Amino acid sequence: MMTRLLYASDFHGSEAFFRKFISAAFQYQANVLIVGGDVTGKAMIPIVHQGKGRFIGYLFGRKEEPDSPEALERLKRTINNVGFYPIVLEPDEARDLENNPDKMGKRFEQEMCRRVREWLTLAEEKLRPRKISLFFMPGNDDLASIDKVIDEFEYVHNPDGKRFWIDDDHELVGLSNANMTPWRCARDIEEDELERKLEQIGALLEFPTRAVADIHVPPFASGIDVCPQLDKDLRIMTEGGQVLMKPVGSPSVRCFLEKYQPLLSLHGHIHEAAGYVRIGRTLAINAGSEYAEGIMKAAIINLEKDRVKGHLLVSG
Amino acid sequence: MADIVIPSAGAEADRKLYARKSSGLVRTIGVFGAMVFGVHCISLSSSGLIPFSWVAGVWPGSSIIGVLTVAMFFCLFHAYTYATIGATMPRSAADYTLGSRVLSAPLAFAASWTLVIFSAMVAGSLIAWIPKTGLPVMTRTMGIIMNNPSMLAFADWSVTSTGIILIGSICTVITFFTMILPTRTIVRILEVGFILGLIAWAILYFQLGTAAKDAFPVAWDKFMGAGSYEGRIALAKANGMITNPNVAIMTLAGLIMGFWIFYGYYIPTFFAGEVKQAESTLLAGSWSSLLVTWAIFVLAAILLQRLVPLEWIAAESYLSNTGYSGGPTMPWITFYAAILKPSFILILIVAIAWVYTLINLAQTYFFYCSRIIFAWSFDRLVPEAVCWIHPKLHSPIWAILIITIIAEVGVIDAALGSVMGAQLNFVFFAVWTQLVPVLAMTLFPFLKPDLFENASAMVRRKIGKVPVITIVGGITLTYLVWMIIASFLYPAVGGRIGVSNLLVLAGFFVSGFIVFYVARSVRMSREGIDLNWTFKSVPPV
Repeated sequence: MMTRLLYASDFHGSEAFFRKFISAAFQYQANVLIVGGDVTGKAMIPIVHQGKGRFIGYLFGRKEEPDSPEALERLKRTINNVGFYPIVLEPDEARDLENNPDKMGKRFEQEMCRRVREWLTLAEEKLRPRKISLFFMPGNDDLASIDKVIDEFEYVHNPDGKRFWIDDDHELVGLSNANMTPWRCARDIEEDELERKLEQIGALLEFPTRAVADIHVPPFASGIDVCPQLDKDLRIMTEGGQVLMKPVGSPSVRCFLEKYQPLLSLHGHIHEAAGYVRIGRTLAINAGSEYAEGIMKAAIINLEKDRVKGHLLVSG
Repeated sequence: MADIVIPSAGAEADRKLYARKSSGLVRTIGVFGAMVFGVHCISLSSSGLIPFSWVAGVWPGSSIIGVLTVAMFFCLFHAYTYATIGATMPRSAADYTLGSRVLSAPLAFAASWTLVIFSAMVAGSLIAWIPKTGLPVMTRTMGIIMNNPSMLAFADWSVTSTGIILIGSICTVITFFTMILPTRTIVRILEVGFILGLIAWAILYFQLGTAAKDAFPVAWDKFMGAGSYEGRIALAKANGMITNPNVAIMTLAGLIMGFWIFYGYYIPTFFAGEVKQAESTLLAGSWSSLLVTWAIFVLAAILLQRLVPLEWIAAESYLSNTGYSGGPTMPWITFYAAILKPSFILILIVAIAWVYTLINLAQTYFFYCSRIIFAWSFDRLVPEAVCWIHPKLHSPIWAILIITIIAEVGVIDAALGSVMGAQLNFVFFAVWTQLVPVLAMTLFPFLKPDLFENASAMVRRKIGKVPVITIVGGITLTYLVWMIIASFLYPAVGGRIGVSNLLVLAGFFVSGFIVFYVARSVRMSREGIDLNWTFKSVPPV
């Protein structure tokens, strides 16, 4: 009996990425879908009404000027696909938001929750008839309100800090937190707290060696946690024309994997470090992310009772 | 509630996006960084010699500056295409990744496979350049200027098969050991090379620029024999040199020589995954590296032509290229500069810089080959062990060892002048492997419209309704096809392409196809995984 998992992470609001992920479940005949966190976008794009049906918005610094309802929809769709949130505003609304950070923060949260709700509605509609399970976990970039949105859906499970059986043989546990990043994101925590939370999920496992761990942050110095080194102004450091890279994963996650040796551990967080590595008998995978290009990056894993039969990183 | 980090204050310039506090917001490698690597890949040493020692003699009478300019201009289109490839697939081996996703996975892999094997061989032939050209030029210069027969004897021995294999093998081993060091150390080594290269050119400028206008003939005769300068042009003509200052010939030369002189500027595309905002950085990096090296070489040409007429430079180059046996030929800019200001220290610094940067050049080839092998491993087309990372050195030593072994074959091939002629045929081989990704990029807007619509602004740029990349890609394709044709039309430039070369090329491609299908079959039977999945598009629901 084989279970086929499809795993992806770091959607960062990209509509194209998520819709491809759901579609990929059918294309690759997956039984179980697992999302590894960081599902919400990083920015809202104001599209400001200039009067007479003409709007102005900036995408990646480029001025966009839709002047018809169709052009406006097209721009909104493009913005959705790259992971941002288009918000159509009158000039006074834009000024009001810009002068009121609290208001803007709330609007942002509304937009993020709305998109996750739309996604999960779509997922439930598509996956339930085919009995494909969906485990949807937030990541360190996602606000706590996202958990509440996931909880609204009976068919979708959030494995953060919990244990589920994904088939007759394999348990799934998850952890959405990350060790502290330079951005001090919503779910960044200190290493000792991360270690404590990992111990908690480890204790939930009945058969650790057959388990699947969905842990947002990758293990330290594993090769799937390497990203460009940043200076104090968060700019990439280079030497001789080369980007300086360094491991930024969590030592606690590495200890957890070495101690419990689950069959499979799934990670995200470091978009540019897609790959796979063995830590003892554990196959650790980071599917990576190119959400801004609307590209789906995912991992297909064939699970047999006591082994990972095969795996493949895909993009499309 | 979202924590906003960039609340706009109302000014229109700022009203572009409302960003929240989240990871990875502003990260970019500077254009300077990409430019430095591009310059390394072009090579300030080997490429710096070519315009004076080779171009001048193959097309006598053609303006060196003109040829450099035409060559650089056409490379700009190629650079644009490759920067767009990197922007479209910002990950390691972007060319292979794009070709495999847009055109055909087996074909793209076969092209990439050929590129890696041949690049590793070219790395070997570039290493062989150290004993074949770099060292003898420098030691002969020192021998002539210092009147040191041992130096001259060493220069003579260095170019023998034994000398090339021995020195080349030592340099290959050095390259291997430097490449298994941590990346940070390799980067330092490259950085030192960049500075050394600039210092060497500064010395050449100083030697050429501070000499009196009439100093060269006297200096030449002093070291090469009385009356030698005066008779050089007549000697070359007597040996068949025909001077033709026709602009059309110059343009033709530029069209052919682009890759020979500037090859390497696009190599950062192979590291596109490590470059943030790849769409702007890769283009600016490759264009600026082209312009900077062009400027360095052009300035040298201006300073040299202040002292020596173009026809004389062509004559010396011609005699060297045609194997004139009546006496030594020294068509090297480093020699021209050295005789004007004979200084052991200055010559030694230039010599060290030249050898060091040639090893740097081989290192960049090792570097990009290992990145491409990683991309294959990522797609599970090669065994995982190939990309095993040493736990302490953090380097893929098996992958580097494989490249080293192939490079050593390149050294031996260069020494024995056998079937591959890696260095002489490298443009021909490189162009064949580039046809796949360039064709994929040209057709990308039509074959993958969904990805095209979501690509970065640079990729989506249009003139009217026609994507710019289709136009530029078309020009690049034409340029590549022209270079294939030119390899047959002008055998004096590249190696003579014979049946054996074509069979080797075909063999590489065929072996690539075999590896692909064997890997696919193994993964399917053992793991229940079809490798073709990774190359397929997934339409959104």
